[in-house]
Amino acid sequence: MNASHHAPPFSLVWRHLALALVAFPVALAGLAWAAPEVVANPRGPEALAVVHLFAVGWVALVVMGALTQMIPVVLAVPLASHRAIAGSHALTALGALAMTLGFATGTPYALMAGGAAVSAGFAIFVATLAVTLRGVKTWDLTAIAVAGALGLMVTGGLLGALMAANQRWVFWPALFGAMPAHAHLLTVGWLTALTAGVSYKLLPMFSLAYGHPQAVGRWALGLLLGGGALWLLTVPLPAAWPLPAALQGTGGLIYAWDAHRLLGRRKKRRLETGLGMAARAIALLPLVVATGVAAALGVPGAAGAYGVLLLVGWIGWTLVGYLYKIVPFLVWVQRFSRPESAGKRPLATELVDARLARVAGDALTIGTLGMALGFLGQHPGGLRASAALAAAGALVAAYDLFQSQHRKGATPTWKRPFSTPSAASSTPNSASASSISG
Amino acid sequence: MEKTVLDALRGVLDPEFGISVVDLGLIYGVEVQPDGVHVRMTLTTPSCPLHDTILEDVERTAAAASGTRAIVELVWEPAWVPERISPEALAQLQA
Repeated sequence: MNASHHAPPFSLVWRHLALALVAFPVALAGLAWAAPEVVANPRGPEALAVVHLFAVGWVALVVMGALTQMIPVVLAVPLASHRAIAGSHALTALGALAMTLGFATGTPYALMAGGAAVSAGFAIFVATLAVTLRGVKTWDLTAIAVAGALGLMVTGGLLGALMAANQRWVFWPALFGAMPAHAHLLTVGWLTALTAGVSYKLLPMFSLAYGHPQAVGRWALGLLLGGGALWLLTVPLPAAWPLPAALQGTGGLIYAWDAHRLLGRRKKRRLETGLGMAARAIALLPLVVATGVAAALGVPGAAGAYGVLLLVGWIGWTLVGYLYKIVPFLVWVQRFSRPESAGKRPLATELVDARLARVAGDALTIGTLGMALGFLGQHPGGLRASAALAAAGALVAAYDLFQSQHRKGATPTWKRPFSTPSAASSTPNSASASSISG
Repeated sequence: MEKTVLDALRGVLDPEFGISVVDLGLIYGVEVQPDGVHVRMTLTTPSCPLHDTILEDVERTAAAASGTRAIVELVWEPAWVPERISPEALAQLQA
């Protein structure tokens, strides 16, 4: 098996990530700017504009870019079509812009066109990956999670397109109440199940935490995906919402517990920014579920807090964390993997600035928690300040990751651990290495 | 000769962890044969995205150290386990 043999071109992945890294701080800055309107009306046009720029312009593009890189490498199958992926990226990016403008300006046709473009982009992307996944030989937990999550991705996207069309032509009144289904299909069904499923590959890889049993993970993912599908039931039967909500909430808590156990097995104790942010996101899940319950019980401001903690906290922090692993790696392979670079290579971690990464991570963390409190306290000023802080953190992270393409890495070879051949070595490992025969 | 090659392979670092392929326990064996030096090794996971780069580095380093042709054989049995990490590398990871 040769994972890296199937890696897609750098440009195909980078176009997704670069555009997403622009949308990230812009969306949060938009929230800061429209804070009073968003607090007053969490389902109003300003809130919907910000949510869709964040969810589609940032989250969806990052996830699509990351999957474009990870599926061929992690599941060892070549992508079915690079051109289709490029097309889906263009449709999704343009659709995100049109939807944002449509919501912000109250232009139904921009909204419908944007929704249609995003749905088409999602559909092409999912179809391409579905064909790709047919080549997978081993259907492990990650492969199953990816397949299930992709199904919910296109379902949630289509539901959103139908909702937009229904606003104009009113062909199914039940769709007016479908927002919870649309939101949970995508944020918990697609994004959470996908993130959780992929984490069972990435966390062990990056932290050397192998050997974790997957039985509990299967239950968690089953609940997240099954609950996601059941949200469709709430469109004709709104009163049925507690069932999918309970399933997904339980799945989220089980995953958080299991991921915590997995990280406890790691050999690499210190988590640098990337894995640190991902670990913080996992620790946030119980609070996400708690605010979801509070929102369901009608606690004032809880719906906004739940949305922020789910989208910006759990999903946003996770994506930032994994980008701090994915981007340096991609850039490293692009710049330093050729034989002529041997002897002049930095470590992948040296392509980002640890200090900037820490600042970005802390700003995002404090900003997100502050936004949640701003919603709970119905305090537009607090929401605005916190959103501005989070936007600053997003901007720093974006800058740091963009700069990875130019950094050379500063640590001299002789200062790196285990970089120089030792004199006579008496370690058990080296003795066994030379004595093991085939 | 095997020891010379093994010592040289301590200069081949995993770009993610900054630890040599020897200290990570990826090198299962080094054997000089008439057709060149054979290096039997594995990777931490079949999904390793740096598969090609690491194997090329090992081959090039082994050939340079031995002054002969290097043949790298990638195996998945026995599977790599974290317990193969050397004590020094483990101390570094856990610092």
